Amino acid sequence: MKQTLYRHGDLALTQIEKLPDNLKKSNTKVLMTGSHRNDHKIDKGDVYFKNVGQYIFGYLVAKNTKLFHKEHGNQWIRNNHKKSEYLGNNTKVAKIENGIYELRKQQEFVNKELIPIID
Amino acid sequence: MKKLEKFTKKQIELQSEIRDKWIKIALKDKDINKEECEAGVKWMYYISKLKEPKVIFVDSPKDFAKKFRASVRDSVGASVGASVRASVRASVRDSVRASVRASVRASVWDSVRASVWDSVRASVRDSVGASVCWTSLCGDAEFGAWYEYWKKIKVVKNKEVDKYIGFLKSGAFYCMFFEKVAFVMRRPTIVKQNERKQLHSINSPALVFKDGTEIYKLNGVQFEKEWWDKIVNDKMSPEEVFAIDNIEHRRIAYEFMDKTKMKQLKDYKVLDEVKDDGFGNEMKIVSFTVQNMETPLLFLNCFCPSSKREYFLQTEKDTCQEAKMASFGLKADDKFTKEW
Repeated sequence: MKQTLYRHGDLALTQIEKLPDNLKKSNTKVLMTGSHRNDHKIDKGDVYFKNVGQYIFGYLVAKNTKLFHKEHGNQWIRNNHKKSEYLGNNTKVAKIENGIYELRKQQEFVNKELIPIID
Repeated sequence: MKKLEKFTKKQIELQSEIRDKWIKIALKDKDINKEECEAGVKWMYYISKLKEPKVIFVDSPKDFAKKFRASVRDSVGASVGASVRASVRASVRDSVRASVRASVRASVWDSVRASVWDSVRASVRDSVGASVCWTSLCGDAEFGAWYEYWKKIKVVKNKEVDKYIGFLKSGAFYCMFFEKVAFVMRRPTIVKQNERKQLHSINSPALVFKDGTEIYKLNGVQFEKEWWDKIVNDKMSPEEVFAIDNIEHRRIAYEFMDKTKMKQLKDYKVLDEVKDDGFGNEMKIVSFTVQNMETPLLFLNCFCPSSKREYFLQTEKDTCQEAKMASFGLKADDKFTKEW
């Protein structure tokens, strides 16, 4: 299977075969708060948080899922009143394929150690 | 009633008039109508089924911090209560926005609605700024303009929304809602923006509040005055620029730096260069040595796929593809299917 990899600003979504065991589902639709303190959000799908190593911080089971962010996406959702009011008035959207994804936070290698991108 | 399909010339002219009026209300008008504002806050708490709060007016973020601390201290152990921002916002959304949205949808064709969105609402939003606090001018001036336009051309009329519009017009620039206390910030006395409407000024603070609090911003990014001064006057060496921890600050400092200074960097080299990373963006690996360090530093010079902002990310890899993928903990031969 060709692995699907998405980059959503400083967040990467890496498709995997199955979820690891013993995860606890989160109620949130915010995957991560990234650049400029803007949230990477979803509309549908299940989110599980678990730190694995220095990059993976959780998992997403996507089903008809769209990603939302103030800057990252391929179209604005301003004409969708309901969603734009829920998510903020200045939001971009990107559709992703159904599947299971690892959530990875971009890191910077600073003087021989990894640090999360600060902004 | 027949659905509105096309605007008259007068209705089109009214769009820019309303847009400019609301930009002025949000950013240029100075006074605050305390009575109207306080009534508006109490009404929002009422529709949110919350007890009436004490309303405290503040002049600036600094003044808010001071008065917030004082409120906590005065209430002897109790606090101002939990933040109720989300519930107030939800109530306003349901009671105010939802009702007029349905009326506009029922009365106006999609294409006509979209044109008002573009020429009135989006313009006000771009001028006034990000929606950090919806229930205030800072975040909702755009809604004020949108509603007022439809009201003027007699598509909507709603007493509840009129109350909310009255509250916005009273001059509530930013609000912080807690169970027992609501803090309302007055409008700044000076607001400076760049052509993209980001808070920005290279010769004075971008924001000045009534109590004299100054906020320095360059292309929307906030700096301490000392750093702002160094950046706008190009007083930083490239070593200092690359040593900045915060990548947004580093990016802005680099943007303002005279690029010929890069030659001052000891052993400056471009180790690898990619003209197109598959998504139309260039990448480079640059290397240079800084004082007291034996090994050269490596930076991936890259661009955000969406905003196209230029970044320098420190790396240990000496090829662009390796460095890019390694920053996400991925292998060099992994490839992104899509990037946004």
